[in-house]
Amino acid sequence: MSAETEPERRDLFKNSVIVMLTLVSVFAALVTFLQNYASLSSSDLAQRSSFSAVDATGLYFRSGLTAAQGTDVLQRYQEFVQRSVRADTKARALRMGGEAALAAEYDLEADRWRQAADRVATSDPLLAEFGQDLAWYNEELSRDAYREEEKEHTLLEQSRVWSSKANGYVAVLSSLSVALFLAGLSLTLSSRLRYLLALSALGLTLACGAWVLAILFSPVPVVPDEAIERFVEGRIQYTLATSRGEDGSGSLDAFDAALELAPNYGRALFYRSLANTDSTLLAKHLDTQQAIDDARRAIELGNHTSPVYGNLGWLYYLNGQYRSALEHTERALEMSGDDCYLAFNHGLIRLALSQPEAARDAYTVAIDCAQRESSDAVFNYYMDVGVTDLVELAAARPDLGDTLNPAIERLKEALAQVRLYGMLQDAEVEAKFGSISFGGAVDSGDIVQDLASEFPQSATIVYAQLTFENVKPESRWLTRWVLDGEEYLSRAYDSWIYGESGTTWISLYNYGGLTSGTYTLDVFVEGQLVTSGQVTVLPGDLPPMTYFSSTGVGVTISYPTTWNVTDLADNEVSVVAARNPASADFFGVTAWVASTGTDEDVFQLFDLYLDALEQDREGFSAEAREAFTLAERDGWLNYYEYTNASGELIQGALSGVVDADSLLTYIVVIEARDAEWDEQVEMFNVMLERMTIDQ
Amino acid sequence: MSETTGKKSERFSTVVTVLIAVVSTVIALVASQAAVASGDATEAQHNGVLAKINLERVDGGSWTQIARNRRAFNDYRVNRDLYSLTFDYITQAEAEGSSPLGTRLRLEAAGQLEESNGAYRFIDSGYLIADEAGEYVGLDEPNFINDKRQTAAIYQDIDYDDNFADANRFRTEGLYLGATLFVWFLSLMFLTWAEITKSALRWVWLAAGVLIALGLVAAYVVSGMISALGLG
Repeated sequence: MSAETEPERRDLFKNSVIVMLTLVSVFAALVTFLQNYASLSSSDLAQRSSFSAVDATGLYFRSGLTAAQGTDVLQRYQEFVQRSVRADTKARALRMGGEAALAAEYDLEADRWRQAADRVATSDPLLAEFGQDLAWYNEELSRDAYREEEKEHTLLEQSRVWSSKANGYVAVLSSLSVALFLAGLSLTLSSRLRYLLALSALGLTLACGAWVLAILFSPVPVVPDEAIERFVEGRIQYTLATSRGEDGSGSLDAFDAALELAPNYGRALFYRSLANTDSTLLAKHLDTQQAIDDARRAIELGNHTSPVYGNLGWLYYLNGQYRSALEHTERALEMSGDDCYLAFNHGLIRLALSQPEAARDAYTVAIDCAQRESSDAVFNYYMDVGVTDLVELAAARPDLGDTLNPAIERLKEALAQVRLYGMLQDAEVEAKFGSISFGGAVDSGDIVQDLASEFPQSATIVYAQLTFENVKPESRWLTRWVLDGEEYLSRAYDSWIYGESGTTWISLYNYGGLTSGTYTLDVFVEGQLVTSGQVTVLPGDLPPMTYFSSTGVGVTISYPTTWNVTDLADNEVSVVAARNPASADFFGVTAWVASTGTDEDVFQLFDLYLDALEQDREGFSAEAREAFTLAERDGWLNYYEYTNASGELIQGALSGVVDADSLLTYIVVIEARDAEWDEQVEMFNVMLERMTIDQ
Repeated sequence: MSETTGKKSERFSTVVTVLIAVVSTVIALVASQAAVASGDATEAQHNGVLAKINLERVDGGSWTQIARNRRAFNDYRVNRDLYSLTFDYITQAEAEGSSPLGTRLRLEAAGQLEESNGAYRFIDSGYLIADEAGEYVGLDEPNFINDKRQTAAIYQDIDYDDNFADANRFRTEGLYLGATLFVWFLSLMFLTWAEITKSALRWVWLAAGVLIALGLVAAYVVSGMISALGLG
């Protein structure tokens, strides 16, 4: 009985294993097909991604050329406008001298160039549709390239997933080959071990079946075209905002819309994270936690790139999570060691973690990177931003005490050394400087007077008192005024001429008026920071202003930085004028040889100008002249109004003074639209106060 | 009787073994063809991307030339406009009795015309588009691009469409062969079962294996004919 049953059992076992072998082989054939399909899909998508990349590159190139053409046209337009302005300025000046006929000719010239400018304005979309906004125009031109670039990224992402599936199937096939081997081996044995081997083969095959199902149903990310459109819109808005120095919050809606359509859109998550990233610690106002969550999700979705890790490191720093900040910043540095901003963040985070030794090493790498990889301008930028970040950290973390000062000094000195010597150069300096005091005047003994740490917006000059000892005459030194983190003025000197010990002063001036803000003055000797101080120019209603000295007219005028200046002197007239290109605001000065040297000269020129206006302009009327102080001299003022060729009511004022020394009469013409006159009056008064006669 | 059965059984086994060997060989051949088709698909697609790169290179050069032409054309057109505009003012100035201004403007207009003519020399004039009045209003950029592509095509492959069509064909072929490979394995499975089965059921397995194999051969023949006749 038992002798007969055993061979039957063996046959049954053998046949069962053979059936299993055939089934496993068929299953392996199916997996091979799936692997082939996945592999082909991955290859196809990768090549299509490459195609899109090439296409995007071409589109970027084309948009760059078109933008350059727009810039050419804009340049030409502005040249024509300036010609028109110049002719108009001259016409006004000629009218002041009673040359009405000649003025009419220049009116004609102004009109001609204005018409030429108008024609040019319609010839390019930059002017006709984009209001001369070059950044906006560039971004719109790049829209197709952005779209194609997104296709490149999404196709590549899909290719990666298919490649991962193909690799998974290869692993399944390897496992199935082991199952086949075990099953085959079981046929060669007669002991009970054969059952174990056969069962192992069966178990492995079943596991492979489950594995294949898991691979088969794992999703491939699909980003709909509509989501890409939304993303591109967000990217354009984000880039425009950053180019204008604004935060990227305006682009959040577009990124939200993209993510609503494609929740696993990794690049949209990264860009939304960027749009929610504050650039400074103290002015933090965006949703940092949302930005962190988005960046983490982008990484989970496979966006393992240095920008994502670098930005996430910065976000953790802003959030006070310094360990995570360090981890992610170091990960980004491993990927992109030459991205200098990462090295600076690294040093900053080390200091936030109270690790001064490690921070020193990190800043050594950062400074070296900035010197190696950047132009002088960008090197300066890195140093200034590095200092600003450290100053903000010191303000946000008083517990760190003075531990940040060495790093701040080091960055400042690195900049000074590169500025003085063109390279980093450490030197021992014996010179000692006291703290700096600021004032509004200097007496005859070179002592700064009217000491203050805050000055009104009307200030045009600030003096800094330096006290020093042990300064060698051959010392090279440098002064640097930094306004709210950006260089305002810097001067380098090859020698020290103020003696070994004593006091002296330096000044910061802008005859147009110092820009409001907090100025930091740093003084370096041989590239070493010897003293530092801060002074504030308080804010006010005036816009940022500058000045222009006209040698032809012999005056210095101040005006808003957004205005344009025309300065011309020929055998017909000398005039300097500042005008607002966006309105009718006008401030012009002419100089005339005085015939009597008395106020009569002023009156005569007033009359000539007003008569000419009355003759040429509709709705002219003038008030009686009144005494007025101009350029610290007794002069006169005469208000008037008229309607210009465009039908706008223009308010104006003539001011005049005779300079007894040079026997010249100076006439100032101020004009603005009636609706804007009141809000401009204060600025016009400041411009009149600041005007100086130089000859 | 038992001897006859034994002989029949042996003959059956021999036939099935031969069939298994044939089907296995076919599987190997089909697998190799599927691999070749997949490789061809990848290569064709790669060639398509290279053709696209060539095209972008050619177009890049063309766009640079177009930019130069646009610049020259703008100079030409603006100066020509200025010339006519200035002439309007010459008429106006002279009508108002300002002869010196008229004279100065005439000199300026002459200069503008010279600059316009100078710029014209830098334009590929064959691509200028004129309006009904004969005034040049723009450049025929699409034709400029096409002409440059035509010239470039003499020396390099810039047409990627055929490559991508080939890639699609090879990919479909590779997948088709891969799918038939799976069916060949089914045939092999039934033949193997026929080999190990002792009962009458072995005939069913044999029939299933042979029918599948014949079906596949028929499918190859039909698809081959469709392909040969260009119907596919």
